[in-house]
Amino acid sequence: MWIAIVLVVLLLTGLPIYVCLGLTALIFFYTGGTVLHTMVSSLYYGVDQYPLIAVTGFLMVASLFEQAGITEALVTMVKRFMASFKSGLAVITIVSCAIFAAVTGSGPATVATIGGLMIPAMIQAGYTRKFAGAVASSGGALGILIPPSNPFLMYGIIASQSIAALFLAGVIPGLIMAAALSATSALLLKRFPKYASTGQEEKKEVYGKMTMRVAVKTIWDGKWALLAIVILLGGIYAGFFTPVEAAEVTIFYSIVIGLFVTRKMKLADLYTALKNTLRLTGTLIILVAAGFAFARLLTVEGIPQALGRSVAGMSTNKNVILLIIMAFMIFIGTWAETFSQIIVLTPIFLPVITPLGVDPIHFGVLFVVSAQIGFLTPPFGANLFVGMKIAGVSLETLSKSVLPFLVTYGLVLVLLVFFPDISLFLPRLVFGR
Amino acid sequence: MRRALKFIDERFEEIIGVIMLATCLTLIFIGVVMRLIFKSGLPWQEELSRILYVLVVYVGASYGMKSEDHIRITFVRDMLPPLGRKIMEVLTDIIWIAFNVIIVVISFQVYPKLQRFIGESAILEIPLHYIFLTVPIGCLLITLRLVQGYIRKYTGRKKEA
Repeated sequence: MWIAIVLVVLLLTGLPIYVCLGLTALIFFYTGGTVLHTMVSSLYYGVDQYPLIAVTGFLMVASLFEQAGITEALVTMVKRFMASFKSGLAVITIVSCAIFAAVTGSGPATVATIGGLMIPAMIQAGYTRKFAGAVASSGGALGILIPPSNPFLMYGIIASQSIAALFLAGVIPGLIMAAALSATSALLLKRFPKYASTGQEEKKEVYGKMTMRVAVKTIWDGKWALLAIVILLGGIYAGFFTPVEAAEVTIFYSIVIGLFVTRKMKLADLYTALKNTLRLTGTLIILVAAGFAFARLLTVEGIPQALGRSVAGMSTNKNVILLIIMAFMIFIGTWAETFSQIIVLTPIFLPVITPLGVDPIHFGVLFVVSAQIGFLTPPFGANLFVGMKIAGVSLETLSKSVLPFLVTYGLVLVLLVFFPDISLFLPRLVFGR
Repeated sequence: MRRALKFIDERFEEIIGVIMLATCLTLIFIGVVMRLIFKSGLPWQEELSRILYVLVVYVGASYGMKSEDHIRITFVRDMLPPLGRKIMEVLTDIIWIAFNVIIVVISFQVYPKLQRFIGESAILEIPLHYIFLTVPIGCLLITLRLVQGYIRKYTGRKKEA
């Protein structure tokens, strides 16, 4: 209990989260008589994990894709195929996010890249700013559910689960979520025109008739983006690469495309991408180091067991317990950053739910969906931070306008809790678990 | 001399970090290519990439100080009046420095023991006690950047872009 109080107080002071985790661990290692050396070795071995390099790799891929012009080609392709849809641009945005999610592992990066292109387009087409921002922010959260996904990587490392299996488990829920979000935005446009549209008629970009030839040409234009997805995911599932290697191969692929094929990138851009990746890695991954120390503290103190007993006391129904845990995670997720959430909560809850017969892979999917909700809720909603900047609205406005999409996320989460097969179908099919 | 110092001040972590990151990523790439084409990977590649990666994280953490990118929860602080906010900022920075100093002190307390017992890395045979210094060095760098921020503020020198 004291651990929770100390941690929360430290967090609220505005101390960097990694320091809060590390300091809490340090204090209780000291009072509990654990050798303090544990602290320093955790700070080293917490980061000394090969799969973590994939997280850095995917961060770099997102940055390179934009500079290489691959993202833009991808959006153009989706736009042309979806041109005949009624609620055009909103759905295009979400579909683009879903496809882009298949090459990046990050939510905010998806909002930044797809939103950067689509939010201005939506506003121009007569959507309200708040609606345009809400569509892109909620679509961007798909980035972490559709593989590859940095939160899945992190969860896999901490829960010692197969990362390839986790990635597969995210595919169907990701597609369901993309469909649900598209339906939500179409519904909003139809039923609540005041909220969604400025009243101006949605201007459509006029393309010629979609013939076979045009379709082939359109796909051909987006080939570099599609090829990246094939290399990345195909390589992992055909067993050519591990996720770490796949990320690195994609980096070199986008460098080659950017420098020699699309020629939109210069060597200086490569340096900028490395610089940004360095900064993001330093500030994100150091959380893993401190989280590692914190997780050791929890184990030493027997917290998961104690919490498990009290949660088990609330109900004996597996689904009810999962729902309670999800509610708790969403609550934490509203003010915590996703990685820290996974780092802190996985070692607490995994030992609680595995004895109940919940598959850790399924739990990983639920965890990531609750993290997506966290992306979209203030005070700490990383997607909202990016979305508000691009859409030019305040955090309060965007937080309100994103609410209908949050309801969608919540409903899909409940669906996933009750039907684990949605997540587990593909991993079972491929790995025969 | 002065220009050299200024250069180190502005670009030290950036350049070292970028070089290490690029090396780490390239090594992994070469490893895959070797394995897929020549059917044999580089046995030392994973070990070296991992050592570099830990360095990248700690140097990157220090590099992130400049742009104030460390993730924190600020909504409570933001609700305070300007003076209160200032006090909180100073207070948390002092705690941050104290945390770093404690880590460095602990590291050097156990260091002689490590030198004797921890051994070498499996393939490259690099003495692990050197590698282990990554953590205290990272903490020192972060502390330096924190202290530097205050010195700048008090001597009134603005950061030159």
